[in-house]
Amino acid sequence: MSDRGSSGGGLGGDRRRLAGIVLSVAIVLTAAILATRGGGGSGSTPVAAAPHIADVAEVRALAASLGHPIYWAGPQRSMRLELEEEAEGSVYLRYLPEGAEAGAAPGRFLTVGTYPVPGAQKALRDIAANGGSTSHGPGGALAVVNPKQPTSVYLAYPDSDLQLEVYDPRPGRSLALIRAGAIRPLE
Amino acid sequence: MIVSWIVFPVVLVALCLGCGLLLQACAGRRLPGLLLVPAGFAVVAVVAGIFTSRGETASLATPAVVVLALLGAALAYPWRGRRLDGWALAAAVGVFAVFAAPVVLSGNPTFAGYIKLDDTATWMAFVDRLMDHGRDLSGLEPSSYASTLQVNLPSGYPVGAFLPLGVGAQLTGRDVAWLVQPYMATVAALLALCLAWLARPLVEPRPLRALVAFGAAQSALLFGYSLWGGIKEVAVALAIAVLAAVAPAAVERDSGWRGILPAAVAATALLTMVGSGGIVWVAPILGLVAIALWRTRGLGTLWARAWPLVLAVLVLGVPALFAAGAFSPTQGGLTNASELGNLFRPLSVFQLVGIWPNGDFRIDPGNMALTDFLIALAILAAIAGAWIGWRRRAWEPLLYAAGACAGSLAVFAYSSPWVGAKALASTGPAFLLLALAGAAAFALRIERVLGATVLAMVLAGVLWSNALGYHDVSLAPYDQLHELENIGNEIEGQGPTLMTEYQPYGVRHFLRAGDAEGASELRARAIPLVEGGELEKGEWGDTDRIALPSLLTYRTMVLRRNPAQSRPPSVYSLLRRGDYYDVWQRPAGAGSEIVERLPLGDFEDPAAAPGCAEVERLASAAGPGGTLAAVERLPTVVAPLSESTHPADWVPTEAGSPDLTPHGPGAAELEVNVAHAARYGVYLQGSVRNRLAAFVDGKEIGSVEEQLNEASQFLYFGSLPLAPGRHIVTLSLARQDLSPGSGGPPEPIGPLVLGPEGPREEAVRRVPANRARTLCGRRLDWIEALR
Repeated sequence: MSDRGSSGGGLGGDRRRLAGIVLSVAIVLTAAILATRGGGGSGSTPVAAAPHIADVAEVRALAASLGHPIYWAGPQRSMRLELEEEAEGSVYLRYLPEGAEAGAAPGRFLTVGTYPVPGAQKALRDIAANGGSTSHGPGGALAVVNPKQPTSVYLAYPDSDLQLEVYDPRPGRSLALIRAGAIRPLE
Repeated sequence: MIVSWIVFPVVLVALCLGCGLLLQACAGRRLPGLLLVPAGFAVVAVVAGIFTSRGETASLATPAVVVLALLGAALAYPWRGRRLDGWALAAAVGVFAVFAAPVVLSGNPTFAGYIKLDDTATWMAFVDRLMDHGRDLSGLEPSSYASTLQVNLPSGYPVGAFLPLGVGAQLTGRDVAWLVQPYMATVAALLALCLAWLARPLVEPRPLRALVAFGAAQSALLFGYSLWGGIKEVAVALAIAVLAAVAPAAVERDSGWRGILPAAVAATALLTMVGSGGIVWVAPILGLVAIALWRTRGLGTLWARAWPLVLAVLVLGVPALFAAGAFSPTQGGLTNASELGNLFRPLSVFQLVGIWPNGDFRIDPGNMALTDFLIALAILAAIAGAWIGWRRRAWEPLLYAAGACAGSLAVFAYSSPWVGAKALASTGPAFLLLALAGAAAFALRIERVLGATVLAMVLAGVLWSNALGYHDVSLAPYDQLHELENIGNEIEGQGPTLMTEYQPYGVRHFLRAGDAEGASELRARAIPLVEGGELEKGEWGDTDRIALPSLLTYRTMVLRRNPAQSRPPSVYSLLRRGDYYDVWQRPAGAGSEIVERLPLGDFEDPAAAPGCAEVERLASAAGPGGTLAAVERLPTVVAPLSESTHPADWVPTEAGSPDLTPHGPGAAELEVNVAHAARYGVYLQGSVRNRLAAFVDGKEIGSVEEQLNEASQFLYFGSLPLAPGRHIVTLSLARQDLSPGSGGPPEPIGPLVLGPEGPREEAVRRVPANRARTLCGRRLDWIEALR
């Protein structure tokens, strides 16, 4: 490596400067485009479909193409459904109030996630064995909740390869929805 | 505000400076000016740790620190002027301002993280106890305060991070609750000084170096932790940086055995803050220094400097580390992969980078693509920094980044998500320093425009993240907690005290002198309910729900004002009425004349009309010469907010629920019917961030702002006389603004309750048992049979 003072001049220096300016412009433009377009998805998971407002028919069609049901908490008054799909088949349905934009502040709204997990109930039992608090939902479902943070509850039915996550920012409501039988496949 | 945010930081910095000068004198060599105060902070933690390790010496901790600081100042006399690095000082002041902004700009000296995480209440309890009694818990009456200490201190929970706070609190005389945020801001400022020193070999121009330190010391995850009581994370971040800054001096030729003292003190401070698990940072940092020493000076020199260091760490650290038995880093849920604590899910390892633009670091940013892009830029900049540093033999920043990140990644991989997240927070500044310094070095040495662009983008990512954290902060309601502080002073020695509201800051800290106990957490005694069982954690319970013998155990009751709150039993009288709390007390040692009690009412209305059969049963229980006591109450008026006319983005939490979650500004209007003329308090269940004003028949009754409540608690707007008939209540919510916490998640509000207020609601009516039927059909809070 050489110091700037010894390599800043001449043709090589000009090329480097030009390359630097081009790269800088590219960085700023990329950031500007990403900032303008918003974005979404998880940081570590490739996104198949960015969060967008969807109707029930679109979710049904997606479930048919994935070959497994997608769970939800039923229709809710004044709420729109936001659909997000990840490349490995995980699907999130969020309940957005009127005025909330798709992809904005996902942690603020009721969300039902459907994840393909082979032997989902056994996997949940393993988690529960390490300290999660277990509960039983309708239909033999096993629910696992972190007792200190009951905003997310994980759920799996017997012999199912789907793990469900019900998230609600209000502690306790996720489990209440499950116990009330509100989490069901969108049919 | 002045004591919290000016006097306390000045006192703490002065103590640290004096102790830093003492360390310099002991080491026999000048410490770099920028490191004097940060290294002095480590001395304060270690010295206070030694004194508080035993109950007999705990109260000497603060005097000892003061004496040592004065001694350090005296030994440094004559105080030859050192050339101050004004730019680095500016960076430290800037970092202090950033960490202070969420609280100072609220206008109250409060603290952050309210509702989100109640660990801060435990830290306050630690400081209260440690500074006077160390870990000695003898003499404590049963209380939630005693229980929270009992859970933690005997197990050897590491407390080094809290001790400088305790010293400063004792010297300023301010309640520790109002010093938590100033403490973290001061420590973060010291971290900036340390980082300015560490960045020196990579970034020579002082203004640019100060900019790098300013950015790195406010790594988004660390800032996020400071907004929910992350005292340990901030203090540990500083201790790691100090260790990395002072350890390389041990390699220098003129460094004798005394020269290792600063490293020994820094390592000990780190260990007292996180327990023996701190070895994950001490080992790689000192290990790399040892390798350098071996390579440059040989095995003999390595040995000559290693054993004094180990000896010094043992001498300084053993008293505090083993005061209550070794605290195992693998105990409890610390290594349990499912132990999420208050996280929603395990954090992303990329949060180490220090960019996470979301007001709550537990949640993915809304714009993940831009976040990923900025994180990728920061990682590339860090790689450039490592490469430039390696080529230029700029070992200090590399040692800091490598040692800190290696330790954190090991913790992240092998401990619980809860502990792993803390480790990422504490070492975020190390990674960010390498990234920002790398971009700056790239700009200085390779390509100015590209380096400056990356530096600006990474810095912008950090500032953006922290601006969102500021906007969403959950501030503790100062006025309410200050009222509890005053009540705590007034009821000293008048316990035991009961709180039926879930209020960890009350029972673990403010009311400790009254031996307070929470009905729904950290109970020292069983508090059975009339219907059986006990309250769940976080639940509120009316006093009528608590079994009478258990209720009468408590001499004092501190009850949150709540329209559904029953009057306590007849033996209690109202001692104090505040804006938020009523304090009731019975005479000391009074025996109970209550032979049976009939609670009436429900969750919405504390009163109901008893049947005559019930009244007569109580009369016979009282006996022929006995008395019945009862409290007459007018009905509350309960109006579900979901039945109001309201904006479309105010939505009920579920179909049929009486509440609305307002996702934007606007007004809700609802009609209420009042049956009886009386003075009514206007209550609304829930919490609010932005200003919410209540109007009755067009007249403003009051407004509430930034008032976060635990479950089942109410906002109180004021009271007014109402005539029987129809009235219109309007609730007007202001839009978000630039004040701290304004952008946080909306909380549900509703129902609206008009609660009758006045002497009638507290007056106990006594009726001879033979006239018991006069109570039949009247609206009563409860009836007691007295003999």
